[in-house]
Amino acid sequence: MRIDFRAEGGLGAFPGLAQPVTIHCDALPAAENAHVRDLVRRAAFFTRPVDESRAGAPDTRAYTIAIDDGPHCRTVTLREPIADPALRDLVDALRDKARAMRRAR
Amino acid sequence: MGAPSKQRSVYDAHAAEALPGRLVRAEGAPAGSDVEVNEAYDGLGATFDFFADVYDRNSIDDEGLHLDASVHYGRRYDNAFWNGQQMVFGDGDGELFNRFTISLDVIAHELTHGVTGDEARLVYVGQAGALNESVSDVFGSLVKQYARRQSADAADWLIGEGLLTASVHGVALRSMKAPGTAYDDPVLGRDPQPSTMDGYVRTSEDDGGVHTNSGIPNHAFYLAAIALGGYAWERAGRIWYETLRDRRLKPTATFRQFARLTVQNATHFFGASERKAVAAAWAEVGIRT
Repeated sequence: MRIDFRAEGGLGAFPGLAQPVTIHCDALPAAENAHVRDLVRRAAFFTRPVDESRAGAPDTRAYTIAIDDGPHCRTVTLREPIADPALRDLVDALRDKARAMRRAR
Repeated sequence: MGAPSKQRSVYDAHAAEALPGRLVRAEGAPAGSDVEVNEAYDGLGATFDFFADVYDRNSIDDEGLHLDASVHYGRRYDNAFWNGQQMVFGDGDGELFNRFTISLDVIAHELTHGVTGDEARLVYVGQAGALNESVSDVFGSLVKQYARRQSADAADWLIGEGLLTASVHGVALRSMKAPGTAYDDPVLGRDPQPSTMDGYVRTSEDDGGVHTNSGIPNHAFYLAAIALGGYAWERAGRIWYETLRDRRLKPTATFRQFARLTVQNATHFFGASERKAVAAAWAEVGIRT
């Protein structure tokens, strides 16, 4: 599974945090790989509307998440605040992972 | 009618994202041990007092709207926003960002989005969106200056000072005095704000660069305030406030349309010297009025 994650906007709208990151789940430790896959499944990612980015309030962030998992492939755009807890958990996890990847560069 | 009376309520979201959360401090209640709760309460009060004392405005809607804020929103949530009804503050991730209640100008910035939504309703995209952002930075900074009783030349003109942790190479989110210099960090990147139209950024990201191109009207306000001298809220701030309330200001206003109204309002509310200072400030950032 490959995940492309991008966040933009927010109060600071930092260019470094807007850089997209790619997560190759199969290269992650087994437990982390399983956790990410579980978050994707619980968010029902592959059956979500592709555009959940209704007009946002000022300073909220917008996200673009593209996931390619063999026969399943979908790109979803969304905006804060995220009402669905399962989708929010997925975004939180991807944001944490992206932050860790940027710090490791 | 009596003087405007503020009604604040601060809620604790307890790391969840359901709003508003549990009420932890109502108007008149004493300070407790939670720093974020106290900072939010005090910041709401300082912003209310500024608009009431300086511009005779009764809260965000000028009709005494209760001011609500939720703190401890989300998990390591590194943002703050106004959702159209209330303030929302994250705790920050502790690595790059401190708590989002730490800067008075950030609290005032968010509440000013409410004022703009009630008055000019500037759409949140392109130049109108950058004006929306800039107006929030202008009054965010002025609320801080008013609380400190600072003159324009003594102010730092930073937005979000203290918000970045010590591990970040930067001093704030933005600088109105010197856009593009607030931070230059391996993780956050380099402050992209232009100070003049020569650096205007055409992009579809961030609603058309609303947080980037706001550097241009931000710098124009700074230049006008410095030229006029004294307390920035008295003349430059008043001109911008009256422009925000001006019925001729369209929700889709461009920088030039906004600028022209500030020049006209400088004449209307003050006089020739103020008109000259405001026009010169806009000219210096590349906008002819």
